Amino acid sequence: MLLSVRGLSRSFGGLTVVDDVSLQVEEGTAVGVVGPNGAGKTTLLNLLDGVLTADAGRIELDGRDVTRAPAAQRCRAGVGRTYQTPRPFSGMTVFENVLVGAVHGAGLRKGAAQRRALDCLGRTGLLPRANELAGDLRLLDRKRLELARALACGPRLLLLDEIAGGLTDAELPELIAIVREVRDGGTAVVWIEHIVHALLEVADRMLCLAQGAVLAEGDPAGVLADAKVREVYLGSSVEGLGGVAAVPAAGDGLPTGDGS
Amino acid sequence: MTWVNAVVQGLLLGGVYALFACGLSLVFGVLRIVNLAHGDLTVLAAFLALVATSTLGLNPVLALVVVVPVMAALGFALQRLLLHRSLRAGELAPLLVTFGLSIVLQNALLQTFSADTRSLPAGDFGTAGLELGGGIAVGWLGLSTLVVAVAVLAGLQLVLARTPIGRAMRATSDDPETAALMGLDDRRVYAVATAIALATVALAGVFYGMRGTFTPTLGPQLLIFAFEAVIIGGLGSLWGTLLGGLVLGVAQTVGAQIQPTYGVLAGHLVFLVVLAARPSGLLRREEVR
Repeated sequence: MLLSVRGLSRSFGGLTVVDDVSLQVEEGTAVGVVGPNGAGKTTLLNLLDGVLTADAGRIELDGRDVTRAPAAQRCRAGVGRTYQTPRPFSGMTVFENVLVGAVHGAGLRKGAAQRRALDCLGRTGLLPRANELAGDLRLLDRKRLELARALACGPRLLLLDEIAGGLTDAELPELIAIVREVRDGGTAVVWIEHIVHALLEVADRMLCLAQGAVLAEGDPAGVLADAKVREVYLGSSVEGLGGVAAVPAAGDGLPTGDGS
Repeated sequence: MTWVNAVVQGLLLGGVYALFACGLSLVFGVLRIVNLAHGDLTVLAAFLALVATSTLGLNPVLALVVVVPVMAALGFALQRLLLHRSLRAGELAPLLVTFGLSIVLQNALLQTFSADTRSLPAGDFGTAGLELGGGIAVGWLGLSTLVVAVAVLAGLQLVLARTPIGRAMRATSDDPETAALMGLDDRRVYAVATAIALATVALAGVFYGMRGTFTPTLGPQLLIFAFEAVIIGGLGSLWGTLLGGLVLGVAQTVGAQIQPTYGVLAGHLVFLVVLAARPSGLLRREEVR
């Protein structure tokens, strides 16, 4: 088991944002994480990558306890992460952004680091933009850069935070294909996403969070068909997900997060 | 011809200011800390060189072999043990910490070395020069200070632009949290940046000490000149810092040419004019960020 999380909790003030979450992810599999806004999804990722430290629980990466390890150390241990709102180093070129990951995240040297950076740019379709300033990129390219940068660190566990959010339906398939390829390459993926149909294309298992706790977990179609899950989504009417009421157990014709 | 001479001497003086300001600019550009102890650290470097010359019998330039690594190590330790803790406590804390450090350094130097005025014995190097004709002479010391300043600033610019540690500094300065997710330990990156900054401070202290005189309480005055050079050039831009130093130096010598007591005042006036007319400095800050 690559990632093993047991009883993870985190509070801010009196508010418990992540509440006793347990999660297992095997190499080469993808876990989709859904849940209404404020369910604690992003906080869960922040706990996994070390931006935040858990109040309770245990995180093991490949059997090693990394619960207290700082973010930089977890990156070098194989945890990669993308932000929902891309945060490129805007004063650096696209290539330099990715190179930082290859050199400092993956610990590669000169030529090898450059090859890794170029490879990641190629996989994400960013090669034509390699020498542009990252701050000048449009949204799709910023999302690609988030992914390219995380991949350059050579992650064994890739954490994606709504990487499909804000993209058009025409832009989605390419991104999905990249994530699937990463997973098939043996990397474990934990993907938070509101655009459920995108998630279903890759996720082997699904986790639904509500108010910080695990509401349902298991086979994606089963989780989406779960009465509690549907109630949570309907009750919150988030981001055009009202259509979830019509979620068929088979998993096709599912609503998209952008309301289309 | 006297005006030409004033400008030439101003450029040489500007080399000293650029060298002073380099470390201040780097620490601000990477750590976002305004180091109020910068001037006192420069004076500390000059005193360290004084000790090295008097006890080891070294020439001040050779004393750099000792002083630069010592100051760099001090910078590393300072960041690790003191500044990094203060960084986590908000924006005001580093200011207060460096202000306190300034006072501690001044008093420690007073206690150790007394208030006497000192200078580093530069010998012929400090007095000989190059006759350019027309009554213009360029001192070797001044010229080499300017050359060192340009070399240091250009070298640092190159390090920031082209090397892994330079990119690490730019990335960490831009967004420490994201940089950590790329495997960058901000403690280490900041400590290396501070070590480099204090290595340049060591150079500035030694060259200043050979050029003029210093006392334990000179630091705040040096800090003001360094500040002016950084602000004139543009915060966070190393080329701007070089330009700012040169502008400040020329302003002071040309001012002194008008009326001997106007030198420093003219520098301050040029600083104020730049601040009013172009608050972001003559060059924008794009190099460091």
